[in-house]
Amino acid sequence: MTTVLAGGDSFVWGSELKDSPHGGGNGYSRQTFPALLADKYICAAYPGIGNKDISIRIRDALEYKTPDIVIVCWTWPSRDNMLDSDHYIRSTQAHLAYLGIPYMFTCADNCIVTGKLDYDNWFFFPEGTGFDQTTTPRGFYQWAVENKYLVGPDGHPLEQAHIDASILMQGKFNELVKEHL
Amino acid sequence: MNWLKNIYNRITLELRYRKKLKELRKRDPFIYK
Repeated sequence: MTTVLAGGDSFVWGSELKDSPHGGGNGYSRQTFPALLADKYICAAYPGIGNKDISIRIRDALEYKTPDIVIVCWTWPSRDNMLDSDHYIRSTQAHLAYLGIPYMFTCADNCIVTGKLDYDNWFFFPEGTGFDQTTTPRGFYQWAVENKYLVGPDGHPLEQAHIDASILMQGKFNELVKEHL
Repeated sequence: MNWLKNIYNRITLELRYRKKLKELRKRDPFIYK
């Protein structure tokens, strides 16, 4: 039984997925990529938030929950009016290391990557090969949109993108969970 | 004249920062959703 605590924005909340009825209490989806990797799932994500709030919500959840692994999908740093989010990511990494909880980080868009952090526990989606695709390792949103997965009316990748993302992430996830056991 | 140089440098730095932030914001289609 692997308990996953997930942090992020609307992608991790599961906005526009069929089983996410609303943005209110308990309205998150269980069909997102972190939920599909979990046996037991705790969602600390919320639509529209920035990396500062993602970091805070993870810390708050860890006050009363002890998951086997934490998965975070970092969002665009511009939501916090910043050019990068290294400070929030580094402090979350340090907090998780202090608690001895393994983590797997990923991102919506690879603009979050500055090269100044330890990326060993990150999962990036494979780079694109088409002329109009990102040729560096991608974030979930870039990967889903560039691979033409179906999106909802507001633009969020739908169920199939999450299923395929969880399949791609499974190897790294197993490796990190096993390492910790 | 140093104070003038400092103000000029600060203004150009601020403008560069705002331009970069504007470009970064364009990559986020979900802002305010």
